[in-house]
Amino acid sequence: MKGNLREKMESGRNALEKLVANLPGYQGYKEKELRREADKLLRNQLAAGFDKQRRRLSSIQYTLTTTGRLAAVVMLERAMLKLQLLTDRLKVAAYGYAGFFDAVKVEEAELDALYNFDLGLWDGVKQVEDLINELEEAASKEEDVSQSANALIKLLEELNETFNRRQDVILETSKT
Amino acid sequence: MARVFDVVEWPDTGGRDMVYRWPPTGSGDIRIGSQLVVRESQAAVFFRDGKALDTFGPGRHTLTTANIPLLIGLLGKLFSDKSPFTTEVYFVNLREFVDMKWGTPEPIALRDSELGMVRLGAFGTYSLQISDPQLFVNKIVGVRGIYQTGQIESYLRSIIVTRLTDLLGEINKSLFDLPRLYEEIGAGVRAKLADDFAALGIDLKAFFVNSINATEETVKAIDERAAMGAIGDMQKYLQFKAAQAMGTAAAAGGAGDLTSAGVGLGAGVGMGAAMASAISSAIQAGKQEAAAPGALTKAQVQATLDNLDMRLAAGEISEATYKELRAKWEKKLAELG
Repeated sequence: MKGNLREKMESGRNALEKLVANLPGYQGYKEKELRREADKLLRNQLAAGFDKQRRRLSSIQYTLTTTGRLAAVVMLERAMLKLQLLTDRLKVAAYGYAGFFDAVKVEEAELDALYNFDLGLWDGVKQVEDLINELEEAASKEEDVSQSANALIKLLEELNETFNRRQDVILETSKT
Repeated sequence: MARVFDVVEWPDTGGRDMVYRWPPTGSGDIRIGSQLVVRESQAAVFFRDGKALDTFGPGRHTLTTANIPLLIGLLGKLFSDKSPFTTEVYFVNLREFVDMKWGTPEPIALRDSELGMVRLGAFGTYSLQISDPQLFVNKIVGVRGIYQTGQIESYLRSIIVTRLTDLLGEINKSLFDLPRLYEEIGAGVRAKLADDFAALGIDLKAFFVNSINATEETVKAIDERAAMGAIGDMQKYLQFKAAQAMGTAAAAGGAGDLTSAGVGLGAGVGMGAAMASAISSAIQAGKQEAAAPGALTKAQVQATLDNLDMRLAAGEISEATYKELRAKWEKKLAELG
């Protein structure tokens, strides 16, 4: 489903766009642009997925606040900031451009690798969702949330760390 | 050359504007095929014929309107040279506004676990980001042009103060405990505010409490409480206040009504009985300061005045009663010279 974004975009071109796409030199440029736009759409979807979990986390904090468990609220605030960081980074991540004289050229293969890398982050959304489910349950039953909160913080640190390696994908692919 | 296409964009040179309307006033007649350029930290809400059609993200977008060149020239003649197909674009700044400030415009009265009643002022900073451009434009901006952070700050401040007061009331901690709870209070208030802000299309990204201060009146009451701490309960506190007042008078030479109480006679001479009598009177005055002042001494009136502060801080009397009684006893004090 998430992998078909580029095909969908290609099939959605109107007559004028198809006509222009046949211009010499333009096709390659447009192909790459489509890949970047598809990746941007994917990143936006990922960010929206994490953002949804962030709102749920905020709702849990609200429950904890009303029951006077401020220490737990602070703990979740850490997770909240890490989740916010990940979401913001996804939204503003590099599209994958290279200047004319740059040593590493970004071609279709590199852009596809970037797309696949971002696609791999979908598992992260699910993992975050599972931990937030646990937190939600613990908070509503007035149980200790520290174990789930710590696991969430750790997972988000790992996801942020994974995202740090995004740039490496271009370098690795260009070597092969 | 005849105008065919338009390029609609907002470079945003100021940085304080949350929304920019294109055109700034009236309605635009963007031609079909015109280009809408949206920058990375922006979103553009496109209105056509008065309806918010869509929100455009970063990039270049080709707009479709019924304003077809040549045709609109002919149609325009029927509409006083104006296009009947109106369009507007609201550019929304999606950057995080990190320098927002909040503060209590007037002190908030709270029940304190140690001091009874305190009056506090608080201030801090927060950051926000518009999360739902279409909602924000429809709920906050309306049809106005530029919308700046300053214009929304006062509205948001009122929500913040409400939630802060609510939280401080819920946690019911003493003023002395609050400085170590700034982080907890900040996180708690942010959680409480999240839904309020979301309803406006805004995401509250961070919320910080920089300071929670007691008002001057409360500080005075705290000082007195600290002095009392060395003595004990309220009864002893009143005795302490009376003795304090007499000590001041004695140091001044034992003039005035205190002479009759024997304070001016000097240290050790009949001091015990005289002091007991004066203290007893002062306590009585402290307990019944609302009664009509009779032949009271200056020290007794002063003790009563001092006691009023304590009673206000303890929440025994309202501020209005405090002011009324204070005026009354100050007048009496002035009469006594």
